[in-house]
Amino acid sequence: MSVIKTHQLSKIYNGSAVAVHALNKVDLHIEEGEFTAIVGPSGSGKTTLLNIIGGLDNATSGDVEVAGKDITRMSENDLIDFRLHNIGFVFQAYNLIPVLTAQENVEFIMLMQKRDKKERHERAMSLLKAVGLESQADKRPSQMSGGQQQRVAVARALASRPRFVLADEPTANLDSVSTSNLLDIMARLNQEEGTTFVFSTHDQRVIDRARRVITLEDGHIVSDETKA
Amino acid sequence: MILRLAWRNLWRNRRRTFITIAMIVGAVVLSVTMQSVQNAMYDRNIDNMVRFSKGYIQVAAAGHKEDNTLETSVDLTPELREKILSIKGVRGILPRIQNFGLAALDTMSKDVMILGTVPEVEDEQTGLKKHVIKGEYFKAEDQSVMVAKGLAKRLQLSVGDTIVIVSMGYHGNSANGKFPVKAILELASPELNKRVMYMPEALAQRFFSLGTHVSDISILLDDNKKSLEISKEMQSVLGDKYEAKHWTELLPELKQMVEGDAAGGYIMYGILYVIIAFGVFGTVLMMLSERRREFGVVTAVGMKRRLLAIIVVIENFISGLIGAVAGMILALPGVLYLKYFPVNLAGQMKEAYEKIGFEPLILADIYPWILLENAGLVFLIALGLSIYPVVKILKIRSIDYLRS
Ligand SMILES: Nc1ncnc2c1ncn2[C@@H]1O[C@H](COP(=O)(O)OP(=O)(O)OP(=O)(O)O)[C@@H](O)[C@H]1O
Ligand SMILES: [Mg+2]
Repeated sequence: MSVIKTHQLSKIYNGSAVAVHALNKVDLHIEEGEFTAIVGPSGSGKTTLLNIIGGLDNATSGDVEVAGKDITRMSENDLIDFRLHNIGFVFQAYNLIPVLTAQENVEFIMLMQKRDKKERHERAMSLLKAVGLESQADKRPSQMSGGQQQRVAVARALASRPRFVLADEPTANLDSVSTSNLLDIMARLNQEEGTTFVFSTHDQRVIDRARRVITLEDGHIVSDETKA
Repeated sequence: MILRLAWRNLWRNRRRTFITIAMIVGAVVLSVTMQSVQNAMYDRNIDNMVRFSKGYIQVAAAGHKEDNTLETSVDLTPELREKILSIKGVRGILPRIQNFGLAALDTMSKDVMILGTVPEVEDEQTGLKKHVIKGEYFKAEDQSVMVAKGLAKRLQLSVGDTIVIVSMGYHGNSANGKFPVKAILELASPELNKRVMYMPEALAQRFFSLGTHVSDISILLDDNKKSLEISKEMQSVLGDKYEAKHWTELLPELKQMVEGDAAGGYIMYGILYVIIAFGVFGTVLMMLSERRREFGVVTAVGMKRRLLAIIVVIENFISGLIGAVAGMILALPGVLYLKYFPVNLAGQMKEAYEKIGFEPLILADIYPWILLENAGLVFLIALGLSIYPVVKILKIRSIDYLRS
């Protein structure tokens, strides 16, 4: 079953003097359990696509169906709630609340979901263990490296038991060791927990780890390859 | 966790929070000090002036005129005395007689204001004894008088001399007499110094054939702050044959001056509060721009905007409360100092104060309501400024905040 479906999805930015067609009639299906990279040159529309399927931005035209729901016409408040229960996000940087510890950052999302304290605590600790940061649970973001922060962000994205995780260039600010570390963790969680991951990247090493690679150019899908 | 989050957010940028709290503290300290000083100075100067003139409440016959004649006197019967004293909050009465007369001196005469009063009570109420510069303060049964300095000089009188008075008594009776001078007084007002002569009450009543009549009756109270209510009650108890007047009716100019000054004070507070509001608002704007990205992230991952707004309000609530409480505490030393060690003014300030009849003295008095009112108001202003971030937060579109 497709967890994400777009039909003739277009996005036009009218901000500046010329209208920019960031996405042009994109048809895309992503199935549950995928580990998919969106690639393409700068300005090709990767971020725009992730934002729209993540319910953060509106499409100019076309339809977006996420987890069986048409999200194109939801109000902002409904979208916030929808995101909370269905989507995990890992942004490029500054993902975490600076005044909370790693553990609190992970628990925070479950608090929003009104999970009880014991469950929050146990899941946060098991996720921090899964991303290899059990010993850093009490550290604040400023006391952790960029790679560690991104791992906490992955743990947080999974904490809410989302239908899928969207990660826009999650490794862009990381060195190669941290990059492969984060990819290992994501790949393992994808396999062990069956979590669907969709991430954008420029990095060839990251592309190599993806099982499906969708390439965008000027808002069009120019190739879509699934490895055997 | 929400409270913890708010508390930690408060200290994430210590400098900003410190500035916010410092501004609130400053506003509270300033406004508390201003009001404590203003309040104490009013109380004291009103007290000085009111005591020295008619008292906080004056009872007289209906239609009484302040014309220095005995036309509208009041009969101070035992029943009337009883009635007045039975009113709650009344500590005593000071009946006074006030009449115009002439002091004869060889070939010329000099106009005199003759004041009949009860010596001990008068001293208690106005501290008249302190004004004696020569001779001895008079007693109730004395047949002698006290003369103000200027008048004594004019008449070339000294203690032990005799003053000759020609006046008009009650119901047109003539009143002529000779009285030994027991003391010379130095009064604060130059106008009074030139004209006043004091007589013991009993002597004055006899001299003017007044019987038990007096010109007016000053009422002594347990608590002068309750004078307005008591004056109203007194009027209703005594009925319309009498008038019980509050000092604000007796001294309308003083009342106006105090009110005018208070209005000026409100403008000062207004300016102070506007400055503080802008200052605190600046830190609110700082906070918003500092946390823009974070607001984008937390709402993107599913935090309700309402909850985020509540956290920001809690933050402002805490910093406002800390500032207000610290402000009250820090205002105390200065105010208490001025209460116990009033500052004497000198030079031009001193003259300016004396011109309006004020003691040239800066003093303060501390009341819980002054602390609470000012701290509360500044707190509410600081808290009220949360409206802006709240409105902003409730309209957040995550994507706009993430892009920045
Ligand atoms: N808010 C915006 N207003 C106007 N134009 C925008 C906006 N966001 C993106 N664009 C334009 O839309 C196009 C696609 O941008 P997008 O950010 O999706 O590309 P991207 O593939 O993520 O690029 P990068 O690899 O640099 O992150 C670009 O031409 C960009 O300039
Ligand atoms: Mg991008």
